[in-house]
Amino acid sequence: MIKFLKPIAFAILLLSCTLSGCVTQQEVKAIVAETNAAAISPYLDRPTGTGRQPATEWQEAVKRIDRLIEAHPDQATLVNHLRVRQAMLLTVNGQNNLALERWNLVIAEALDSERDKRLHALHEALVWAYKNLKLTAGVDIADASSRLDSFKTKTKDVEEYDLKIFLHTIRAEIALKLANSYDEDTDEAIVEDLLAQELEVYIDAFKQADKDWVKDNPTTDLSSAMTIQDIRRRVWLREIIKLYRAEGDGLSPKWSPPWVDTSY
Amino acid sequence: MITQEAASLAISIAKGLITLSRRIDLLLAEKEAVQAPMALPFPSVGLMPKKAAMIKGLKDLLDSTKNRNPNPLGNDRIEIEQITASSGDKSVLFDYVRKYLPKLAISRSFDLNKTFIVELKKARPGWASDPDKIVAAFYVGAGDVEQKTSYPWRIALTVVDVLAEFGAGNAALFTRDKKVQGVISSVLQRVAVSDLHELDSKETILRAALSATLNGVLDAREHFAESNKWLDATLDAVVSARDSLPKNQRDNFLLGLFQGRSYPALVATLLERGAKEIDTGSETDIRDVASDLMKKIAGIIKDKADFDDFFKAHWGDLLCAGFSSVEKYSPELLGDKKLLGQILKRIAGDLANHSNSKLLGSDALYGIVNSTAAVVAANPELASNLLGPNRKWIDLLVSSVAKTVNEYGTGPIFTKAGVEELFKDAFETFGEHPELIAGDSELGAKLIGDVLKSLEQSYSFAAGDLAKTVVTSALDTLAANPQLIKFDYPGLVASFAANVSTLVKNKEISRIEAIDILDGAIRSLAKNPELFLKIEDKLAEGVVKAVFSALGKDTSDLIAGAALSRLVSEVVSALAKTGKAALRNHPFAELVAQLEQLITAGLKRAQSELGHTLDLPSLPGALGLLVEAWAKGNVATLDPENDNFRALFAELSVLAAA
Repeated sequence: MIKFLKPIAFAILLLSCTLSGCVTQQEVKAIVAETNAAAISPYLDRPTGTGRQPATEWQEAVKRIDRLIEAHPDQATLVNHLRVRQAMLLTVNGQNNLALERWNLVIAEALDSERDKRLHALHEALVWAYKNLKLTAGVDIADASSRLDSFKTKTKDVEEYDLKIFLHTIRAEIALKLANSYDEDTDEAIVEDLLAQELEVYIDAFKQADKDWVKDNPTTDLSSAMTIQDIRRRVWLREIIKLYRAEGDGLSPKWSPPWVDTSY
Repeated sequence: MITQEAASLAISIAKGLITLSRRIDLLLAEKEAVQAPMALPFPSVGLMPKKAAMIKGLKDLLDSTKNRNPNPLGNDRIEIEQITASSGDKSVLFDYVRKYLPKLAISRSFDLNKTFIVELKKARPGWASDPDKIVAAFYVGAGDVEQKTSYPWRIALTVVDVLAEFGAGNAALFTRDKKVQGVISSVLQRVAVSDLHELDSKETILRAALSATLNGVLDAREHFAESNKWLDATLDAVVSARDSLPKNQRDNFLLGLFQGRSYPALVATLLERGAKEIDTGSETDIRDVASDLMKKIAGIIKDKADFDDFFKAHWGDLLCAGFSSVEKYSPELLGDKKLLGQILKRIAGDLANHSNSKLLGSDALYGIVNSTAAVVAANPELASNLLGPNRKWIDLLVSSVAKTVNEYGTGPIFTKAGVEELFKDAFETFGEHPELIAGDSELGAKLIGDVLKSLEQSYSFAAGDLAKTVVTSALDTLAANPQLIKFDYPGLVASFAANVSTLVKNKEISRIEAIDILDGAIRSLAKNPELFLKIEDKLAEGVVKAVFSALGKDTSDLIAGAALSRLVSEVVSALAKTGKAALRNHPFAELVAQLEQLITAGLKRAQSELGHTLDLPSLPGALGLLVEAWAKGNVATLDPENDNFRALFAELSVLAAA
């Protein structure tokens, strides 16, 4: 009987090995899709009463990553990149304590990609930004200045263009929030300098084609012929310029480049 | 390019990895975790209103609640009065604004994510209902990835990654089949870069090249051969053509070529040709043809960027068709004169002259290349003249096909694929009779255009099938009777087809009967086109009308199915023979009515003659002979009970049965 069962057991073992061939890869692909959807979930149109709630989505994605990491503790690169993804998902969903807990588990040396290295280097400032920028009240000047300094030092020489613009946009948001937290009566000069300097740095981060388009099209609808990357960069650049101009209203910042002053 | 040794090492590693499936799984999972994009939204930002706006808002609040009892501001009123009067601390002002003026408090909040989505939906309205696309719009790439592994190892991983996409079965095929390994090695040697630092940016190209090539290889699995000289030569040509472009355009060009829909089909064709060991065309000849075409295309794309997608999608179709024509028409096309290269370059250039060429698909391009090659192959001594810069026949061929496909291929009756298939079939016939296309390169498009136009006007659900029959029959007839070119034969058959199509639409005949009628009658019309075109252009239409009116009155149902198509052919043939006499004896105004009466009388007589002098298969022939006799003026009366008519019909029945 045992003799008879041996080939069957072997066949089952062989089959399971073959079938398990890409299980981890498929699981990681599913995690990537799930975390990406959960991050943008609050902005998606959902028919009333259908689908999962955004809160459930990020919670499930976080748990799924924990389970996969638990199953592969010795795969340092895999584990740490998934930790970054998990921590960033918690960060954008405003789960500050959980986010910091996960960020603190990341081993920087195990990270290979520029994006994840930069996000990890900036994680404290990012957690602060996603927690505090949304509040309408002013922020602590010293605290915000310190986060802005982190961005200034840790976003130099970013090579990936989209990552560069993403980080510079958050930097521009922090600077705007900081400027708004000052009292324009007593700190007029500081606010003017801060707005002018940060907007100039922000615009400098963009490639010439994006700058030229935004300069020439302050109000035009974006064309369907543009790539999605073009559209988003140009929307953000145009919007940040308008927000800075609005914050500087009633003051006299020395806008640079000069077209900020004439076109917007 | 990398060395053969490096490619072999990468292949060996890949084979090893595939046998260690667990390790691959982890590697690929790691790669996914490191390199996958991350959707990153921005924090929303809340801003306090400007100080002046807060003071104004609070002052308005004080005024509007001044005399209210009870006072809605309570003890805060005094503090608000003081702080607004002194333009006090901004955060204290904001506390009161938040408490009493919540709308003003949030009036300067913004969210870049929402702004972006609003703009995105304006620019891409179709995306609004697709959450996956919205998510993808927020992707931030992984950027540079620090490499901890060796170069062959990384290439091997790419190979494994591509093979994993093809499934376990194909990966296993790779581990045991040296020919598949050879194909992969060919791609690696040509597309993988030798500079380690450049691999990241080139990996997409390498993946596209491997994936598309393997797709083609798997399609032509039965044609594997040890030698892949056709494939090798084409890969060489593709890679070398890249150098003809400015540096910043090269990678996009190369990637586009491999991602073009026609590339896998080209690979399959090349392997098939290689397997047949066609004795013509050295590796150099093949490379030169492909290279010439690639360079021409690169030049066109540089000047006309809107043709970029078209040529990247269809360069493989042009080469496939070109190589196929070598086999079909003449090995000389690949010989010293490099005729095939000249033909393909010329066609590519002419395609770019017409913006509506961009709609053309594989079948139409195949037809254009084949028919052009057939003309050149049939007249090699005139090749330089035929392909000379001042000769416009290829341009006319291209433009007429493009015009017809655009005009009819996007309408409600015919599909683009259906119209292109008509061209492909038509050009097959042209290939066998190059003199037709040499005589009039727009002939095919004219015939197809006329037919489609006529059938479109008398729409029936069977229009596609009818069009195919009409075009095939007409072209066969034209090939057999080239003298018809001087007449408007396409116009004649199109008009006839329209009448038959109307009968299908009105459910008087079936689609199958219509196809039979058209096939037979179109060949019969060719017997005297002058009569049907010049002398009386309504005659063919009159025949259809007369036959079907007579059959409508006939209660015997003797004529149906195949007999019906034979009857129409017999009547058309009879009139082709005797039409001039018929018109002399019977003015056209009365001819159709008399013809109908004649056929009705004949059918009536047939009921009596069946089993005596006539059988059913002979009936259409007997009626045809009756029409001939009537046309010549030999039928004095159309009364079926008249003795003379009886005697004549009996005599004709015997002749037909014989």
